[in-house]
Order: sequence, then C-alpha cells, then structure tokens
Amino acid sequence: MLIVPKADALTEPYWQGVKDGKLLLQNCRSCGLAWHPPTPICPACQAKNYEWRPASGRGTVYSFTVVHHAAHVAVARKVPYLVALVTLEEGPRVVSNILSCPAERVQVGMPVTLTFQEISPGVVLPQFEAAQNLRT
Amino acid sequence: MYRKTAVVGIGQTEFSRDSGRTEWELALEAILAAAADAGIEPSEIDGIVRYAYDNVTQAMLARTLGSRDIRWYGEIPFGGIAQCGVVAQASAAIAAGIATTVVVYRSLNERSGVRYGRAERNIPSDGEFVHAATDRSPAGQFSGPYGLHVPGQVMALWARRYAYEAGITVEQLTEALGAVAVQQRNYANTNPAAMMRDRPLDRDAYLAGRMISAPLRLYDYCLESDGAAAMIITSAERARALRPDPVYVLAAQQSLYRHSEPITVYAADLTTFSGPGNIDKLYADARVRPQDISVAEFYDATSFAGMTCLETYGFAGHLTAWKHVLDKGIGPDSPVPVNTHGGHLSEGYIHGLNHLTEAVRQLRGIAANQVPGAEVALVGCHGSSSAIFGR
Repeated sequence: MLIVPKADALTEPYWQGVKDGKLLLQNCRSCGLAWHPPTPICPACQAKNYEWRPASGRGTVYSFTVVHHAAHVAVARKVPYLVALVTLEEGPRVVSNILSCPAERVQVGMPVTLTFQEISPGVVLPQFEAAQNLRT
Repeated sequence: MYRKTAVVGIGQTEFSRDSGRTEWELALEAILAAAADAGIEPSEIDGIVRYAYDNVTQAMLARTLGSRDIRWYGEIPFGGIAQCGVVAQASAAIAAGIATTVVVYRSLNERSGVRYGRAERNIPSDGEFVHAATDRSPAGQFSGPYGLHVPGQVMALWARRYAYEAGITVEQLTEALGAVAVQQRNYANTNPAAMMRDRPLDRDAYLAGRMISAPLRLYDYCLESDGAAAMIITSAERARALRPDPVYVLAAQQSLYRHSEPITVYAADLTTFSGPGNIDKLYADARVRPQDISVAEFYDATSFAGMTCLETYGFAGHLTAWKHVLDKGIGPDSPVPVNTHGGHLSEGYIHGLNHLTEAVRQLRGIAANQVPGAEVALVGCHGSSSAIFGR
C-alpha cells in the first residue's frame, strides 16, 4: 500500500510542476509574496494576480521527527522513518523526508537542496537531501 | 460577557477504554447528570453547542431531552480547539438573549471506536494506492505521502524546533516534559475518576517509555478514552436562583488567524501559539491578570502542548516554560497548578471538556486535588480557545 497525493483544481499546477522537475510556488504579482500551500488569492494582499514560479530548491531544516510508531497501515513496515519541515529560501515551508542522509546526521538548521523521488512509476514527490557540501 | 453567564451543572460518565455503549447513550448520561446537578429539567435546555467532531447531533438531543424548542444550536470545527469555543458561543447566545439554558458536551468512543491517533480516518486503507487529499497539515496531499499523518507527529516537530530555539538539548526538553507527565500522573493517582488512578509513573518509568515520534515518547501522549462530559450554562441571574455556588464565565474566546488552524506546520513561527493580542484581550475581558489565576487546565494532547500553554497564557516567558516546569513545577504548591485532574495525559481524553468540568469543580471547592481557596480558573487550548471562570 502506498500513500499518494491527490491533486485538486487549485493544486494541479503544483503537481504538474513536480512532474516537470520543478517545485512551483504561487507568487503574488502585486506584493511579491511567495506562499505554500496553495490558496485562491494572495494571503497577504488578497490580489488574485499570481503566477506559479519555480523555487530555487535551496532550504534549511526547520525541524524533524523520527516516527517510530506507524499511525497508518501503509507505513507499518517503514518505521522508523524521518519527516522534516524545510523552510525554503523564498520563505514558505514544506514537508519533506531527507534523502541521502542517515537520520542521526540530520540537524535543525542544516542546509538542504531539492531533489525528486519517484515513489512509484509516474508518482513523483519533491524531496530534499543534504546539501552537496555536507554529504558524506 | 463578563459575569453575564455561569456554569450551573456538570456531569460526566466513567472514562474507560471500552464503554460498551453508544456515544448517544454516553452523551445523555453526562447531560442528564449535568441537568440534575443544575437542578433543572432536561426539557428546560433551549440551546446546544457541540463539537463538530461529535457523532451525537443536535437532533439526537432534541429527540431525547424532551426539549420544547431548541432556539440556538451551533457547532465548532477543528477538534480540540472547540474546548472553550463551546463556552464562548453558549455564553454569547445567552448574553444576547437568544437562549436561556445551553448545554455543551463531548461524547466519544475514541478508544473502542475511531482512534484519533490513527490516520486511517483521513487516508483510506484499502487498495494498492491510497490518496492523501486536501491541504490539511497532517495527512493531506502535501504531508501524507511523506509519512506525516497525525497530530502527535506534528507536535513532535514543534517540540524539536522549540528545543532548538530555546537553546536546550533534546535531553533537557525531555526532562521538562517528563516533569509534566509525572506530575499529571500524580494528580491522577488521587483522582478517583482518572483512568490512570492506579498506575503510578516516575521519572525512570517515563524515560523508559518507548519512542513514538521522536523526541516525544509514550507518556508524552494523551490517553485514548471512551466517555462523555457535559456542562449546563445559563444567565447569571438564573444561576443565582438555581444554586449558591455558580461558576461565572469571566471571559471566553476563540481565535483563528493565518495558519493558526490546529496542528499546523505552516505558521511562520511554530513556537508561538496565539495570535497577537488575543491573550491580552482575554485577561482584559476577564478583568484579571495571570498572577490572579488560581489553577489552570490546559489542553494537553501532548505534554509539550500543555507545557507551552504556560508561555501562551503569560506564566512563563517565550521559550522558558521548560525551565518553569523543572524549577517550579505544576504541582499543588507551584505558582499555578496545571491539569489538577490529570489532564488528557492521565485522567482521560474527553477532548478538553473534562478540563472545563475540572475547572468548575475547583471553583466549587470539590475537586479531588483541590487547590485551596481557588478563586479564578483558566482553561485554554493554546490560545485557539480560552476561558476564564470565577466564583
């Protein structure tokens, strides 16, 4: 069993971007805010005038947890696994796992970079991994 | 709203792991007990405010309480943050003259029925591929595929960030959370209604608890419970006619702002849990200050959530509650005793309603762990909903 994201009309561009190898954020043309998760209007100035722009892919670990007790049957055999919050350079925060880095090396504040993970044929998630200079 | 309404009745069922009864039956037991405690007939109830999470609807109560006419009914979403919202909305309806006698309640078979610590209630569990939908922060399309599924995992994310910003090690945070869990268990051990009344917990046993979602371990988490609790709220005038010891609502509020919906991971600062100014307004409305609070009952889905309420409500500075609980504690002799019934961690998980009934018992002077001379009680869920009561 695999948990996969279900897009809706508002988030379809986000997941299409992922398929194209981009992490897209809504950017307000009026006030410049970049935000996530998607909303129909700019949360800061209420303008409807936004565009989807790719994030730089640079971020830092805001926090993380190592899940030892599975809360859904789909991950019963995956525990323990790590879930992180990553603050993007542009400001918004996203949920991610941290790839290419053992859990005991993950630290709050560490720089991470965007990558993509195909969790099943045709199902891709944006993910983060330790920045190149930190990987060993 | 100041002193315009009062709690005149409280009632509750046994709290257990398996009630063997329907939630409807549990709700009625608690509500009828609250009505009897208030000295009113159930048919006098003309207002209902419920948690949207509750499976017992207004219609089910209208059919069974003998009410002639329910003139005000409302419901509050988001689970536990309805805690004091039900008090705010009941009191507002009474103060506005729309209803006279309002019942608030929570009934749940949360252990034997749908368990909130499981994610199958939000993500299906049959099929090779199952969908995480909506943008809810655990179990939504942007979190579920990564394995972030339930509130207890989000609070672990909050907790690690808290330790980082407070400049303490995870081990130091664990010591503080352990102090909270052990003291709440101590309270439960002398509370006959507590599920954990016969189960002592000391620091070693706390530390030996298995890791659930690091850095939070077993005893940092609330219990899972079957049970119900209810309160009857009426006007201050009617309250004085009904009983000599009404518990007045000094202030009650709800709060919602960008990304403050419960269990968020997107708010700019995940170590601050209340909107700017809303706690100042709470105290101003209640005409008291934090140092006037005799006892506090904080919504504790986890030890971390309860502990950080000490900061939210002005008993400790930002990022210092860990030190407060280590140096001063939350016990009977501390500056502000917290969760004197044992809280969600050790009395039972009645979604915060049992914190309200405990506050009422404290102000009546009949609590199992009575704070001597308690005058003012605070109940709160991280600033999302809060109430202050007085004698």
